Amino acid sequence: MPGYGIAGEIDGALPWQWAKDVIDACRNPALATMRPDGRPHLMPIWAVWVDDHGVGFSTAITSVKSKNLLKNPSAALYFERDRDNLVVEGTAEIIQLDDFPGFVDTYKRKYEFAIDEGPVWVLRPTSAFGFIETDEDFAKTATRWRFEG
Amino acid sequence: MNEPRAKRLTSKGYGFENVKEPGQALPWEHVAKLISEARNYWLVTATKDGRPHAAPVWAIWDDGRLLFSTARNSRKGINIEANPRVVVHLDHDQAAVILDGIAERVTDRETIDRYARATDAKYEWEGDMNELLADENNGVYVVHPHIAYSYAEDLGETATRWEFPH
Repeated sequence: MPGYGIAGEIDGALPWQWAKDVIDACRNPALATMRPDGRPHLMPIWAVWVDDHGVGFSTAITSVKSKNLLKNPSAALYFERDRDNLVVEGTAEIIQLDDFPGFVDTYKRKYEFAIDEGPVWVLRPTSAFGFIETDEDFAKTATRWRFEG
Repeated sequence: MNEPRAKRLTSKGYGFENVKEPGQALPWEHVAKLISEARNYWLVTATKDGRPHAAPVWAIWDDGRLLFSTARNSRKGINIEANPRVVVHLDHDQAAVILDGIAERVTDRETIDRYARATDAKYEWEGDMNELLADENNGVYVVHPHIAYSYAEDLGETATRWEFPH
């Protein structure tokens, strides 16, 4: 399966569309990165899913998040919607808006905020994990998606 | 308990410099209540090869430290064994809290029993935590926070960095 956005392998019950809906519904996801000294760092951000790319987000290039990612691009983002939980893991890279079609429009629709200047960050997912937290559904809904780079 | 000291955040562009008295709009007492009453806590650990790992856990706020349990051979358990630095994040409708600290496995029986009782009472789940913890593959862990960040909707008014005495 070419590109991102389509799971290469699914061992679970939830469709990827469920994950995209959770990302869309979660206003304040959180971004986990690694500090150069080996401590994890975490900060809530705004982020959107863009098909064929991954999770797009914007942060100042001078922020701790950006500094960490420039040194070590490994990152995890997690999203919640009521009892729905989703973690997306992958590698972040800087991307120009021209190379990221759909990002600005999706961002504007979700946050009513227009990003008119790049570059921004895109998390290219390597894997994702989702589940619905209810007593009876956990085992049934826990789903792992793997992405082909 | 360890009462942390309120400090002003230094990030630019959020209006933090206008906060007159850090910790006043959202006092620690209130932050501790939010931590205590949260249902899910996101635990961020580091893998051996330096990638962040995030997973939600249930937890108990135990007088200034956070207790949770997980399988010792889970990714969380393995990561903590190799690198005890963790971040815990909880999100309410009204406010968010981030704890930066050190995690370690609890071996003291009294704390483990207290954790089990508190979990069964808080989560009203169908299981029995004591039974779960009787399996030696499962461990109870404590997070000692060094720094906490808290903020409510009005970021510029409420955002506070809390430093714990250690």
